[in-house]
Parts: sequence; structure tokens; C-alpha cells
Amino acid sequence: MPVDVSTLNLPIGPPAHAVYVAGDESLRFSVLNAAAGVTVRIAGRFMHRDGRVEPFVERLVPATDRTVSVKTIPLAEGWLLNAQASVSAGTPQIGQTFAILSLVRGRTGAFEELATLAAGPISAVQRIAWPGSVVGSPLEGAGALRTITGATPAAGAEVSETVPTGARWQLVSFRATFAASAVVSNRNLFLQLDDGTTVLEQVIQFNAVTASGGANAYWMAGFGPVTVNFGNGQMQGIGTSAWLAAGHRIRTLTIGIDAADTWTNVRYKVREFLEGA
Amino acid sequence: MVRCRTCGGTYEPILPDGTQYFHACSPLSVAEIRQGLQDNTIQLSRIDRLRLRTARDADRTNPPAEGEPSQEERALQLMVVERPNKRDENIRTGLDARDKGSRIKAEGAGVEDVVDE
Repeated sequence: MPVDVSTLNLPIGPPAHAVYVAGDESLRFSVLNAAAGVTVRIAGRFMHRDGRVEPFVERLVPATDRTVSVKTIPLAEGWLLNAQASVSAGTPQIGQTFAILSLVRGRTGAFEELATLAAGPISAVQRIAWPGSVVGSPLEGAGALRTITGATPAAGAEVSETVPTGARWQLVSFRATFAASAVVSNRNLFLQLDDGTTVLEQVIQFNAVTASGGANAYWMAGFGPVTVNFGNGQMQGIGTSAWLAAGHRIRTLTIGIDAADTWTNVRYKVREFLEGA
Repeated sequence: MVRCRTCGGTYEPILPDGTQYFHACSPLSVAEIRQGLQDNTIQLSRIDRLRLRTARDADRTNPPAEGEPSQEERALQLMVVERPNKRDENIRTGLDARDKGSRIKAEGAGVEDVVDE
């Protein structure tokens, strides 16, 4: 039932932007996160029916596996004046922690979402606030720059790195060290991207590695499609838009591979975006 | 540092920046496919068996030139053969995760700690 503010005898009326809540609604913060050691601070102010303004502060330690972590704050009858989310502990990059602020009906069990108030990336310096912030997407912006040390495969096996559940990557560069066994045959080194099943892109280092030889192989976004050698290194381009969804893989393919060949020092740089899981 | 008991790969479960690393075993390399076929420990899909037979037939009728890869070699390079009992530490979501089993997609043969040498 609508509330006639003039009958409440308030010292001052609620501001025009304030949202009236009837007492069976809650404020809900949903957080996607990939960084370690993060605590999200949730704060705001609430105006009770009697005109009393009460600040609130809650904290949420989100999961680090890109799944959604939720904090629900039950609201009394009155007006929500403002709310915000920021990072109070940890140092996530922009793009590693994303918060959604919404109004839901219900206090426990099943909730029905009524309104999305704000959504966006948060960090120690970047916060989202209602009123003021837009409803953004976790796929906007520059993403989080990550340097990842991949698994070292057993001898005779290839490198394979999988985009984790809840992430979207843009591959910036990839490097690994290849060492050929003494078995006589030339090896050619490919980097290939697949969607978990089907190979989508293959890029070769044109210069062969001979028996007992080795190479530091680099593949880099924006680099030309011609192998450049320097010392023991080989460099090759991978285009400019190597986008990979969760479950996609970055793999090597070694033509002429022997059971005693090895890949080591697997390092790559990606821009990471949160899809959420 | 841990070692995957399925593929033998080694990795740090927590990366230097504090983020979790989710290992998933690589598909078999050409060397491993060859070995698996020889030992009869892997089974190719119907389409891959057909590809391999066609390639071997082509090699018999038109043998590769000296230094050139055989059709069989080329066919093996194009195959994506997943590792038997592969481990995939990526988390399950949605309907996949409703059975309350392991949170990860596939346990494989598990992992063991690697003692620094």
C-alpha cells in the first residue's frame, strides 16, 4: 500500500531518489571474484519509518573460483538512501572482482529479484554505488592482466592450458621451452587454440628444431606472421583477437615429437574477464 | 607443487599472484597416441580409425618422399584424442553440479605432492 509521507511526522522527508521498501525486501550483493584475499565491504544508509537514519556495514569474503558469492541484508520498512560496495582487503585488479547490487523480495530461501541498482568492477580504489553507478557488464573494460605459469607436461606430452570455468581470456602472449631428444628427426612447433574439441587456430614456428636441439618458442599477439629467430628463440604472431571462452584450450602441437622430448617453462599472459559460473 | 597422477604434469595449485590454477590433462600427443595404439591401451573413435586406415592405405599406394611426413603422421597430428581417465579440476556448474558429487569436472587418478629436489 502506498505510504503518505505527510502523515508520518518526519523531521525531513526522504530524498526523491530514495526507494521505499515495505519490510519484506532485502538488499542483495552478488560478487564474482578470481583474486585471493579479497574482502568486499558493503555499506549504506537506511531511513526508518520514524525518520531515523541508520548506517549499515557488512563484509563478504567471496569465493576465488569465479562462482557467485552472495550477501543478503534484510531491510525494515522505510527508505533505502544509498548503498555501495568496495574492496576493504586484498588487491584485486580491475576485472578480477565484480559486484552486483540488487533489491530482492524475501529474506531467506528463494528470493525474487525486483531491481538491479548497480553493477560493475570493484577494487581497492574502484567502487560501485547506488545512486550514481551504472549497471555495467563484467565483460566491459580492459580486463585483468594476468601472467600465468602453466603446468609442465611429462616427457613426450604436449602443453595444454584450459580457460577456467567462469573466465573469458584474450591471449596476449605465450612462451615455452622445447628440448628435443637425441632421436633423429626434425620437430616443428605449433601453438593451437581449440574450443575443447575442435582446433580453431594453428600457428607454426617455421624453423625446425633438430635432434638434441631446443628452442624458446614465443607466440605473441600483434606480431607478424613470420618466424623471427634470435639465439635459441623463435617468435611468431597469433593475430590480434585470440579470444577464448571457458573450456577452450591453448595447446602445443609438436610435429615429429619423440617420447623423450620435453616442454618446460610454460608462461603466458592473458587479459581475463569474468563470465561468472 | 603437485603432480597429476593421470598425465604426469606438474604444477602449482596456487599461482604466485594468489589465484587458483585449475589443471586439466592435455589430449594425447602423437607420440602417446602411437604408443597407446601399439600397447592397445587407447581406443580411437570410429572416425579417427577410418582416417588412420585411409592414411595408411594412401601411404602404401603412394609412399612419402624422403624427409616428408607420411599420411599416417599427418592423420595422427589432426586427431584430438583425450587422455584416458583425464583429470579436469575446473569446477562444475549448473545441471552438471546437481548430484552433490565432486566440485571438479573429473578427478582422474588424483594428484600427489612433489618434494622439491
